[in-house]
Amino acid sequence: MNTLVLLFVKLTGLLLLAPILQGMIKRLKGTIQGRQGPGVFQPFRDVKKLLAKRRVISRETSWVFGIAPIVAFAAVLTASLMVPWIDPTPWNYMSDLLLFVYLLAIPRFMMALAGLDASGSFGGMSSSREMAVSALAEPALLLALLTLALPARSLNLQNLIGGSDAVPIFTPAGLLAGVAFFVVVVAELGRIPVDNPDTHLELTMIHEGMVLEYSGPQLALIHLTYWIKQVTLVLLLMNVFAPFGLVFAIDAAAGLVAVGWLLAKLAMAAIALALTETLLAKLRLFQMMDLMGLSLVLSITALLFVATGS
Amino acid sequence: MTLLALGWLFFFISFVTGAFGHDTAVGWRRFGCRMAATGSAFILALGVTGLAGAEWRFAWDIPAVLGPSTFVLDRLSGLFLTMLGGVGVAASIFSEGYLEHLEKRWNFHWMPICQALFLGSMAGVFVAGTIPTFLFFWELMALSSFGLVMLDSLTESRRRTGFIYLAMTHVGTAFLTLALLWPCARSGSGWAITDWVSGLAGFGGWERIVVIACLLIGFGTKAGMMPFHVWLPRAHPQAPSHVSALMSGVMVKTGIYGLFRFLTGSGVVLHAELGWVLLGIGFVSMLLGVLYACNEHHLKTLLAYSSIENVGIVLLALGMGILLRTWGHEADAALAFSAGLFHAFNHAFFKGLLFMSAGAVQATSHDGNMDELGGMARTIPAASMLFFVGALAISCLPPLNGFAGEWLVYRSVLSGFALPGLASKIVLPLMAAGLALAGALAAGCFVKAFGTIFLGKPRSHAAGHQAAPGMKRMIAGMMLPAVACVVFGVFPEIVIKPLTTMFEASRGLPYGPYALSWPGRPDEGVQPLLVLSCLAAGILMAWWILGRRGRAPAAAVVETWNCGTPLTPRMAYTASAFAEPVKVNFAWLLQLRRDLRDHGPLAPLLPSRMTYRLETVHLFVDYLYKPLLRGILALSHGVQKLQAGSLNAYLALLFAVIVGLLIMGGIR
Repeated sequence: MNTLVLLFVKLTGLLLLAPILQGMIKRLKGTIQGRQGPGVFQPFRDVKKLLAKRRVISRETSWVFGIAPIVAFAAVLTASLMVPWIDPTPWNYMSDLLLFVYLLAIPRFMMALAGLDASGSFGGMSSSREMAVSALAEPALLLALLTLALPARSLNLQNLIGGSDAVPIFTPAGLLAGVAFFVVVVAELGRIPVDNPDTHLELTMIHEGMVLEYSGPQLALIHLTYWIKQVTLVLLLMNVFAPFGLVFAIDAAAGLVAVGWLLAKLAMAAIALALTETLLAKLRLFQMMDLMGLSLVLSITALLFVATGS
Repeated sequence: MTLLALGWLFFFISFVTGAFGHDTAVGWRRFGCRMAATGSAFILALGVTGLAGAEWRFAWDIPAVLGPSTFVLDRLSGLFLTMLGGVGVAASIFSEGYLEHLEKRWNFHWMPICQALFLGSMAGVFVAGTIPTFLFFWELMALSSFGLVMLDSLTESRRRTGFIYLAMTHVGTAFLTLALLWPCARSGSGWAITDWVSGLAGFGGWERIVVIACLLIGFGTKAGMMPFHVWLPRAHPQAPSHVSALMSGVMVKTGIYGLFRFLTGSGVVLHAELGWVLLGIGFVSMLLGVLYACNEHHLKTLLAYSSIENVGIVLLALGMGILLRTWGHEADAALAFSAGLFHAFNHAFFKGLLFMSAGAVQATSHDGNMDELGGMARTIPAASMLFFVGALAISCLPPLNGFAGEWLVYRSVLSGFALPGLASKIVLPLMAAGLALAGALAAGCFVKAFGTIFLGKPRSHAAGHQAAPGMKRMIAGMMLPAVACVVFGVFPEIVIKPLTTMFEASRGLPYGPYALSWPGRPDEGVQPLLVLSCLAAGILMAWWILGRRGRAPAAAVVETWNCGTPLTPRMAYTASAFAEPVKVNFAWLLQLRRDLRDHGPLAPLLPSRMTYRLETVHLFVDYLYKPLLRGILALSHGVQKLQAGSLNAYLALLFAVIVGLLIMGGIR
């Protein structure tokens, strides 16, 4: 019963926080770039508008086009349940690190297929790019997490977070792995310098090209999926590498502090993402190898620190 | 024993049907297929009893042919017989429908004859308890599969492929014969596998190295491990699709079976170096296999390369097990072996499924070149859904069986972090990252395959025309492995538990409450059923969100937006185009040869005509086999000169040999 209540709270929080984080990033980006920017709650309005709109679908599409956003949403939602927010223990029975990495591969697989389904050039181009970038991002993601998981002798995300006394980003290995992980998060979210979420220019787009043929409620679902994935990855980054203010026992006061920390972490992540997106330019597609290589080298250096025991 | 005999009996009936049945009579052919399916079902039952723990040993003296032979059933044989039986039943049912479109082209006498021999001999390999028996069935398997590869041998290139297959498989068998007979001859006590082990234990350093190297080459050639893989991507696609399913799903596994049978038994003394060698070979096979698969635009060749990748993953687990065992981590070693076996088991089902789907595609479109297909999700929707299941499984997406197998392989590679030495602490996590790279590339590869075959507009008339005759029977055959992919993904413990009890060290370990768990670490694991229910709940929730469009008008169906120009099939990404970014990223490894030629304009002011060729250099073919072949040919030409030359030179040679022998005798 307790678990079900917690599950309900978490799901509601997820559906509320995910659009807000997106709104925060957009708003901050606007401020940094000297514009006013859309309001923090704009994503809610977008979803509401899209849900009421009529769908326009291509006549070339097959059954894949219909199920892709649904399955992608389900997989991201399942993955998001595995990441702790304020409390590192409740979902111990399904917080495997490898499961997490491969659950995030499901939406990629489905959306890449959906991109090919409409037979247009844009969709195929974006699918092809997405699979090539993800082939490099997936090992980098795994290696960055492994640098912390291996010394803790556990591949469970929950054990990983409660595992060590030291805050990882204050250790050399943890700091390096944290930066490596941040690079991967930027790539996974399709943000600059990997992809530009604000443009539909065919030369640059990856994620937007695959969803080009979607409209109406399906597009709303795809946006929601992306936002949930964003908040999940950001919270994973924060709670694994900077686990401040997590609650290890049921305690109202500590709980409130933890919620405060949670919001602070989201705000920090929003600032970091908005800053990288404003300060950096998009890389050429074939320079992605170097960026992911950078992440890999950072992780390997972190592993060296771990292996030599310092 | 009864089950084995019944299985062989039905294969024999199928054989007789092929030999004496009328080759144009559909009834005879169907009867043959059904007999093969029945025989496979008995083999499947035999395998399941073996996997569940039934053991028997049966001695049979076959004078003049093999001498005293024993047939043994244990868990290891049981696992592989289950694969053989499962894929065999599916492939036999599938072949009933698949053969309908081949009517005129092939010699139907040879098909059931070779297929029955092939199935029966593979069962023999898995139950043989003495080495001569093992080698007899091994050779029978090689010859019957050669017959199947050569069924359609009208063109020169097809005959050449058959020749390469025959040559490679016999080179492998030669090495294997040496590796298996020499230790037995040394021990002198008999020809059973236990005698081989005791013979090997009596060997000194270099002799053992020679035996193990020969064993690796022999079994590795059959398993398609690099660099002995060159026959595999040629021969597998050339056989009819249900045979490709058997070859890639099961025959490749006889090599894996041999390695596990001879190297992981109790009493075999191993060295850490062998573990590292196998890890290296596995890593190279895995990465190069999947990269070549990404570059391939012929569907069945792509699947064959992907088999090499999966064999690499199995070898990675085997090497890891040997490494752990030499360092005394017996329990973890046993689990690493189980991980490799479980992945091999899973691969049989999803690769069998994918090859049969490829057969359905080929039967419908008469073409296996993905660049000429497209839109077949509307022509053959059921086959597209089954291919989809296989693609999900092979991309190791949870909760299907590919994920379950790779999860265990990951765990075994990462358990090496406990080993002493900086090398294992750095190299092994990098191997895990390599596994992730291979997994992501495989996912890209199968997005490409599924997307260009089944989605978009058809690029040829046949692809979008109508389903092949016999499609229903083909679908029926494909259902079985598809169900296996789901069942072994959601309930992996039904195979993992018997597997871990196979090895003494892991027998007493607590299994933990999770279906997918690392025995001895009961606090961690994955519960695939829970993942599945979460996914189902998520799907329902998405359905609910989408269902709220009650207020919105019905969907409008229009043409895909193409910047205002009419959409033609040529505008969609082809398989070759899809793989381009991967090719560019890994150009340093793939050694691409680009050839862009400008032929000049046909008339003034018109754009010039250009041709573009892109070729992949296959490292081992171009840098190992071709120089080797040239060397051998040059040598034989040299010898030819001596032999066909003057009588004087010949006599001088004879004299030199005699003198040499005398000197050697004198030194003794």
